[in-house]
Amino acid sequence: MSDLVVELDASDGVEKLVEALRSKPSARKITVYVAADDRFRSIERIKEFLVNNVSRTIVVYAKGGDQREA
Amino acid sequence: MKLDIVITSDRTMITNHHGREFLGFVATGPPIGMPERLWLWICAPKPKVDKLGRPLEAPYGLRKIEAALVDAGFHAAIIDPDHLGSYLRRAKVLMIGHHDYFAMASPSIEWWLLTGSEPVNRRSFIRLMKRPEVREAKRKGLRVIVGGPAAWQWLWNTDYWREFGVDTVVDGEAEKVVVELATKALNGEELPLYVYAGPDDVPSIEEIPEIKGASVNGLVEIMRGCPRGCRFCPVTLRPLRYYPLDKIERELRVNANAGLDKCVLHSEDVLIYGARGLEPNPDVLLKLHTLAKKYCKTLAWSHVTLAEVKYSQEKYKLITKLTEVIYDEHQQHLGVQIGLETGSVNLAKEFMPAKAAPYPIEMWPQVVEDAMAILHDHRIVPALTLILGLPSETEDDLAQTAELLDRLRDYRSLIVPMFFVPLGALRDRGWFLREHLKDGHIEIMRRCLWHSLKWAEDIVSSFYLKGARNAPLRWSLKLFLAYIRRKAVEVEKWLNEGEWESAKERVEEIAALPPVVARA
Repeated sequence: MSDLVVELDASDGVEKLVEALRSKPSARKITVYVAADDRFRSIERIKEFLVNNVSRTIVVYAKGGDQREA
Repeated sequence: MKLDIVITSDRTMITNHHGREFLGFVATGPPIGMPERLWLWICAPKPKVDKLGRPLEAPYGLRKIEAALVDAGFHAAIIDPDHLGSYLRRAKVLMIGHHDYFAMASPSIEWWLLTGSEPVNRRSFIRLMKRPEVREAKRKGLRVIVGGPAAWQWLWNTDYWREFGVDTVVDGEAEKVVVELATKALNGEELPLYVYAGPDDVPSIEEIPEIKGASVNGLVEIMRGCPRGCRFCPVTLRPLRYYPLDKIERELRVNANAGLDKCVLHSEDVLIYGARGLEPNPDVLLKLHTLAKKYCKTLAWSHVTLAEVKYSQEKYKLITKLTEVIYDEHQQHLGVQIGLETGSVNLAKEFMPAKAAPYPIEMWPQVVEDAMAILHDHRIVPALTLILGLPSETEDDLAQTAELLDRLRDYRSLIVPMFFVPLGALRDRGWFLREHLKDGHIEIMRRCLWHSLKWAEDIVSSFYLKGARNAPLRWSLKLFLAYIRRKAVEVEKWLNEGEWESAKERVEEIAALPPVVARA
């Protein structure tokens, strides 16, 4: 399985994720590290992308902020 | 008993619905005309538990997660929600599954939008997460992982995600990923916030673990996936896999050893078990049913498709042959849920082009009617679901559906209209909300209501809850149906007096949408 790892910094939009995927369309698994001031904001930042995905495995990690908030 | 991993859900899930799978649907509504406690007793009574608080029967999906963890060597078990306290003091991980956490799936969302009152499944789940023992364990470092068929709803409920301190949401078939997550959680490693298991990460048949304890009402899976490719359905995104008969038998035996004498064969279409494409395999199906009857006095099908009912009967007389195996002194009828979806050929072509196969999709209304006649003749009682608000739906589409409903009037069935929920390949489409209701939708809902009331009274009296043992439940349901009939007459009068027209004008004000849906 072809993997793709993407890091989204606080200033990056979800377009960076879309662009990375476009450059490697064969990727079947995407691991995304999303920076946000709290870990749930990480999900909110890329929610639309996650909602629309049906065909690839996606794993999302929060980066920065309060990791142990949950 | 010390558990590192506790698996649970709320009362609407950890129950056997009085042994009547269909009563589970009652948990998708708000309590109407009776106190919530009585409503919950009807649809979700507390199940028998052992002295350790483990339910005798538990949802099949949770049993699969339990089996994956036990097979991997973890100390994990399903615990009834009323027995969590003592376990959560020492457990490191709490895993929760649900069919409909926040009542956003059909039909919950429909009842919610129409009545403006929260369904009991949502209330019950939120109460579970707010329990002091759960909050206290979370405060002390418990890792919380949630999943199941409603996992997608957390993306629309990040406020609750945050409030309940959920560490990880797992969407998709989880048997493979859950072991890795459990390892990380127990080792104190960072957990991902969200995992979506795509089609390449689903387990093969050999990797799907076998349940260790009994499933609710003896449900056993016979296959996963569906080849029909309907665009609104998430199941079609997964690869097709058939369980071999010996694997099914081992799970039937687990249920039988726990004292269950019934089973539900679970598949998106039982009639294509072992099929070559969509060509049914009568020999394998007859073997499957003979095997199931060896362990169960009664059996039910989770789902079939109307096209397969018609085709398999016309070509192989298969419905007749299968009911000859199923019916005996213990069982004289069979229940099943079926997607009718629409009466419109145009919508069928656009969203479910293979639904009528091997017949051309243009024949869809005729396929439906022919299949319903076959089911009626064989005392198979379907609960049919319709989708209202499919993208691009027109008044003409709605009129065709209404017309088809008229043709189904004489066939014993329940017909439940459901609002379109964007799932499957249509995940990016808009939600169908109350302000989108047109006259055509109202007319369809009205016809479904009268059809279902007529047949529900017949089914409860003649088929579903016979015998003295079922008398309290039968009478509760009869009273409820009488109440619904009275209300239906009032609504009919309201509609006939033109109130709907004036209501539509102020629908923006009265919509009273659930906040979460309004945000969506």
